[in-house]
Amino acid sequence: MKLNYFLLRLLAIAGLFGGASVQAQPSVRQPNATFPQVTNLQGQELPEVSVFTAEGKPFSTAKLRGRYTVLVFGCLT
Amino acid sequence: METVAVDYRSQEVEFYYIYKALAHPEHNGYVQPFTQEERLLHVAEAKRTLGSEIEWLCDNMKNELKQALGGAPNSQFVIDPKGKIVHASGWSDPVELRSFLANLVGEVTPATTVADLDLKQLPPPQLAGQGFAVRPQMPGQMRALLVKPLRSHEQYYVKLRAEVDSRFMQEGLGWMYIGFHLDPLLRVHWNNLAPPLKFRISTPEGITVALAEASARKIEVESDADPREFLLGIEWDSNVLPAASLPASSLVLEVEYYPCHEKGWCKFIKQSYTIKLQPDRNAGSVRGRGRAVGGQFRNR
Repeated sequence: MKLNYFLLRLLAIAGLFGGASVQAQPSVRQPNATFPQVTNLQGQELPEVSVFTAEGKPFSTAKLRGRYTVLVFGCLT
Repeated sequence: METVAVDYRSQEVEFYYIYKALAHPEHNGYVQPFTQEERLLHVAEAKRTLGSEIEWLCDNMKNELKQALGGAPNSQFVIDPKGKIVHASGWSDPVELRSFLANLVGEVTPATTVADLDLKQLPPPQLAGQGFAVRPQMPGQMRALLVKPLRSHEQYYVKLRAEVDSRFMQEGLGWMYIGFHLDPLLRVHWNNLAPPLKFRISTPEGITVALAEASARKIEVESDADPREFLLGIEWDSNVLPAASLPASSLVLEVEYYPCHEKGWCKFIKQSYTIKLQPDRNAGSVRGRGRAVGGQFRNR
C-alpha cells in the first residue's frame, strides 16, 4: 500500500504538470444499426413524460396527439 | 431539418426539437447544466445561436424523455395522431425524414432549400482569454462519474466534471480527472488577482487519492476562462471496500474560487459536491479537450 501511495503521488504530480492531448472520437453520422434501442421503438406508444416548454412551463408528451408530430433530439454540442 | 419543417407544417405536421443533456461538453465552452433553469438557458442559447424556427421542448433533469426514447444523442421520431411511434431513427436525417413524410402525407414540391430560409445564426458567447492554463494529458479512455452539487446559496458559476480511467475500474489503480469549468452562460471569468482555485477531497475507506487537496497554478493575467484541471492518482482497495459497495460510495469535494461577473462584481465562493464512483450515462463525452471541434445540431 505504501508503495502504491508513493506511486499515486508521482502520478498526481505528473498529472498537474502534464501537456495536452486526448483521444479523438468519431464525429460522423452513426448508422441506425448503432441504435437498435431507438429503431425498436417503432410501433410502440410514445411514452408519457413531463418535460418543459422553452419558456419553462410544464408540458406532457401526452399532448402530442391529434396530428402527426416530428421529434428531433439535440443540444448545443 | 428547418426546410422539412417549413414544407410539412403546411401538411399539418408539427415539429419539435427536444433539448437534452450535452453530448459533447466543452464544445464552444458549454458545460452540463446542474438545474432545470440552467438547461432552459441552454435552450435559449440554442435558439439564439441556431436561428431555428422550430419550437423547442426541454427534457427534465432526470433525462426521462431521452432515456424513454432510446438514449441516443441525435435521434428523430414521427408520432401519429394516436400517439404511436411510426418512424424512429437513431440519427437525425432530414432526407430520410422528408421521404418518410412524403409517403405519409404527400410530397411537397418544390422543396424549400436552406438558401430560401433566412436563418439568423449567431456565434457562441465570447469568453475571457483562453490558453493560459496547462491542460493535463489524459492517460486513456475516461468515464465520467456521477457528480452532484450540494446545496449552495450561490449559483454554481463553475461546474465540476469528474472522470476516472478504465484502469481504475478494472484494476483499482488509475487516474481521476477533476475539472472545474466556468459556465459561459453565466457570464463569469476567473479573478486571477485573488488566490487561485483550491479544492479538498475526502474519500470513503478503501479509496485513496493522491493530493487530497490542491490549488490551481497561478495564472499571470488578470482574468481568463480556462478550466482548472487536475489529474490525480486514485486507488481502490477491494479488501476494504467490496466491489458491490463501490457504486454507492461517494467522495466529497469542497472547492473555493473567485469568479468575476461581466457586470462587474467579484466574489469568493465555497461549494461542495458528492462524486459517486459510478458512470454517469448522461454526462456526454469530451472531444479533444479545449478544442472547438465536433458537431452541433447536425443536419439542420
